[in-house]
Amino acid sequence: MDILPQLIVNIIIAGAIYALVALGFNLIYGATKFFNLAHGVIAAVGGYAVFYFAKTLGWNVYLAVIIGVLLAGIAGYGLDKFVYLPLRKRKASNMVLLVASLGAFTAIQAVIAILFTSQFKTLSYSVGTQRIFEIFDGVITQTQLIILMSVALITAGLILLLYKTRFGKAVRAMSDDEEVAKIVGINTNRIIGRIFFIGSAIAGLAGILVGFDTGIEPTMGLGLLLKGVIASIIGGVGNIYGGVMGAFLLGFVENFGIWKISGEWKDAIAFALLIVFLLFRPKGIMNK
Amino acid sequence: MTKNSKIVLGIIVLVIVIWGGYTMLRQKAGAPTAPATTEPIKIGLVAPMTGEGASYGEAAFGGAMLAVKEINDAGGINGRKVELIVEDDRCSSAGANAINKLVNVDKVTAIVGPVCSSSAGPGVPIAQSAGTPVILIGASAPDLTKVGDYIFRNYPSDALQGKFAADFVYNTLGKRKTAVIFVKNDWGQGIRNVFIERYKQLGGEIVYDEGVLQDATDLRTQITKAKAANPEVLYFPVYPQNGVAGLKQIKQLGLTATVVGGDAFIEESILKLPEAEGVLIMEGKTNNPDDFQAKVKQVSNKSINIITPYAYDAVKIFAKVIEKVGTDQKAIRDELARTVYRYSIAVPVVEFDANGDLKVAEVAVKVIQGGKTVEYIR
Amino acid sequence: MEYLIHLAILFTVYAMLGVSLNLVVGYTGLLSLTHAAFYGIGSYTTAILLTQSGVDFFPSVVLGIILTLIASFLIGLVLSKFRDDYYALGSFGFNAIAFAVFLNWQNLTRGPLGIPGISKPELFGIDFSNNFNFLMLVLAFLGLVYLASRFIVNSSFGRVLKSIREDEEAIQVFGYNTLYFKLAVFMIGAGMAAIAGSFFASYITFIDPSGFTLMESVFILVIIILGGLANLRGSVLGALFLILLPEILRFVGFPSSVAAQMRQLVYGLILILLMLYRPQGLLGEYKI
Repeated sequence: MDILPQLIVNIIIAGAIYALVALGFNLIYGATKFFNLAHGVIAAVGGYAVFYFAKTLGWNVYLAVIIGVLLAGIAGYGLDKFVYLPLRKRKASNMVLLVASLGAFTAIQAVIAILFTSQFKTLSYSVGTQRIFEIFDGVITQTQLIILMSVALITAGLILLLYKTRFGKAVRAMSDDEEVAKIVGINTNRIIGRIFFIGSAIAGLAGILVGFDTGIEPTMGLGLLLKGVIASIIGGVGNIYGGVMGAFLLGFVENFGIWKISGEWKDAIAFALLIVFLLFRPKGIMNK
Repeated sequence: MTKNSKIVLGIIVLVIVIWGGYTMLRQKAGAPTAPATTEPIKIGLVAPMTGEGASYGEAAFGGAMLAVKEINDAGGINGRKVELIVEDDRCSSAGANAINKLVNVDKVTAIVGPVCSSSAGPGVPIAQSAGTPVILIGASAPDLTKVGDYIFRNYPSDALQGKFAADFVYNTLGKRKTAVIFVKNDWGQGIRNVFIERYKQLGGEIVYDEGVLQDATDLRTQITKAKAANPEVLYFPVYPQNGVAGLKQIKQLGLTATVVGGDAFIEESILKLPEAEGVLIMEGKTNNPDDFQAKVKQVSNKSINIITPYAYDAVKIFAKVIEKVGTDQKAIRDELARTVYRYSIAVPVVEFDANGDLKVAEVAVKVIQGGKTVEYIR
Repeated sequence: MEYLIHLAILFTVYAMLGVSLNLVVGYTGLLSLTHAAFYGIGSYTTAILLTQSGVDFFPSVVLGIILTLIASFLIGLVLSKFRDDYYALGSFGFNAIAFAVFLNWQNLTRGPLGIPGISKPELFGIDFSNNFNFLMLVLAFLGLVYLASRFIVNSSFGRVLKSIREDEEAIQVFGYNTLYFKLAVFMIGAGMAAIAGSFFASYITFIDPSGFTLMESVFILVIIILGGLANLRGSVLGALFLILLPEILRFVGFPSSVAAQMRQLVYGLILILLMLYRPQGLLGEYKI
């Protein structure tokens, strides 16, 4: 039974990565209510930006990370401004937005592949192996700890933003009822634009950290996105705490599942969990 | 607004359709003004240029382009230049579309590729019934060459690499307890099947056996499980993206078994990985890989991996055969069946057996040291 | 010419898939993303029967339909508890599970190694390895599927479906058991997809799990959104467009090192543009 502590640490690591993606996705979905397939590739944008600035140009790594996060945010903002906003203005349905997001996902992924080739690349800049910490007999690396800390910080930051600022109030009002929010005078489109920026920046950070932990390739986005979505839904869509808890629950069920069965069924287990939740607890763990 | 947008949309679609259709028709109408003997020789390349397998497509492209450039710089084949026509198969049944176009529209003389069995499976029968010779450069599913006598493969089939690895682990390393983590696609599954069958036949014990999905980068739980089974060796035929993550995680989690990887590990991201130090790989015996890689880099700045030399070889083999017998496809096929090609980069000698597979393919064991592979010495 | 016949056969298969999905999505308003799973069951049934046992093509089609009806009954039952976006996600989940089964149930499906050597149908001694004959056969079945769909859509059954789409609760008040209708159309759509799958397997002679991924379901959905929801002719047109587009792009000259990715980029941009300028699809009237 001595693999149990490591299993637990594995779960925490996996959950933290999903949580990062879920945070960004949840924020955007809460405001726009459509399934944005391009969210995943925005994470890749962040990762590749850091690759370019830190590895190709050799700039300072922290600077590159900041640039990467900003670029991802801008990319998401731009996507909203030039594609989703015009569609919303035309009262396009969610399905149309889905197809448009598929188009954006395909296009941006192609651009990344053209600029950087499809080869799998790592972001690690240190020559030796990373610092490793031991927690209760389980091993965790420096990058993974950073991921965990980021989740905590961003969650706290988002809670502050949503509950302590006027901006956040407007966002919550929009999540509840977009029509009424508009009537009351909230400029929903501008708020959505900012939400896209923030959510996409978080996605960019997720891509960067995953890049440091394992690596990047142009197609990395979709897998991350799907898991982030599952985490958001089982946590309760639009709910910040919920998304994080959902992510860890997903990490738990997945890793526990493949411990008992086999790694080949990982995705199926994740989706089965989703279906179970949709059936029995559609409002998510938090049930709000 | 709707009227204008309809017009805009209509124009876009019309432009593309006309452009594409015109090019298509122009190619079919065919009769070039130059006499047949100076017209370029068309060779098709089918590979995954987009999608998850894109790094292999890029690698194939690099190898093939280098071969074409070298041939053309040397004056072509009997004075005729070689034209490489590249088609994307997205590592899927779109390979059938790609091969169909190459065979029926471009009327290529020969085809290099595909790389993926999911593409070769549907595509290869089309080439066979059209009588177009094909050299597969990956696509290791054993049944593919049995489709017909026009189908050849210069990449060693799974049966070879898996068996060799099993013999090596059991006999040379003398290890009796092995864990297997493989990538869940035609290549990984095929090799794993052969390895396990052979290893058990020899008397070894498989203590753990699980697959990972092709895009998986979190192998932690599998590695944890493997570690709990106390293996002496971990046989690890996975793709680079799994491998980079996996090797890091193996070090982090403290799995100390000897790691033996497949030839997919011969790729920059793995070789340069600090955690890959000491990992054993199965590799077809290559000649001057560094030299070769430098030359490929001049032609294409994209991915280079294990597929690159096979693509290069395939083009060169076709060139040599065509130089000898001309562009009659049946003659090419007959000559291929007889060919013994000793200038291969990827394997020591290329000679095809009755099925179209390599008769002999030597596998060597290398160790990753300091960012490259060196001979393994006991 | 051979090339065009090949494309025509693929078009016909996807037209069948589009029409059958439209019944579920466009007419009944159920956002199903499971279609590739049923397509897969049909394909694998035919593949396994034709290569392992002496069963002929047409009986295999029947068996494929039966298996799909069973699967869709169970899946549809679970899905009927969901609404809108959750329905989509749940159905997506079932597709993921089906894919995992195709990939991992080695003894049955040979997993990633695929099933090669699938033979052609036999009927009155006609040689169906001649692709032109095969095209005629599959077109005939498309005709049947299309007529059946039209019949359904124009019948009173179809009217109930549309009412469910517009306002399910309202029609329940009138005493209609909407569960029965939703389940029925879901199963009918699934059965038709299985027919398409059987033809695909026999034509392409080799199938493996890669043809039945999540993205395949998304692709079929895009076909009907592009063609116009609740418009059967539109689905056919959509299939034509989406099968031809990547092939036509093969002829558009780009420098070969980036050609394929450039084509993906153009493909993505076209999707976006189409949504921007014609969100109701080529022939559609209904925007959800």
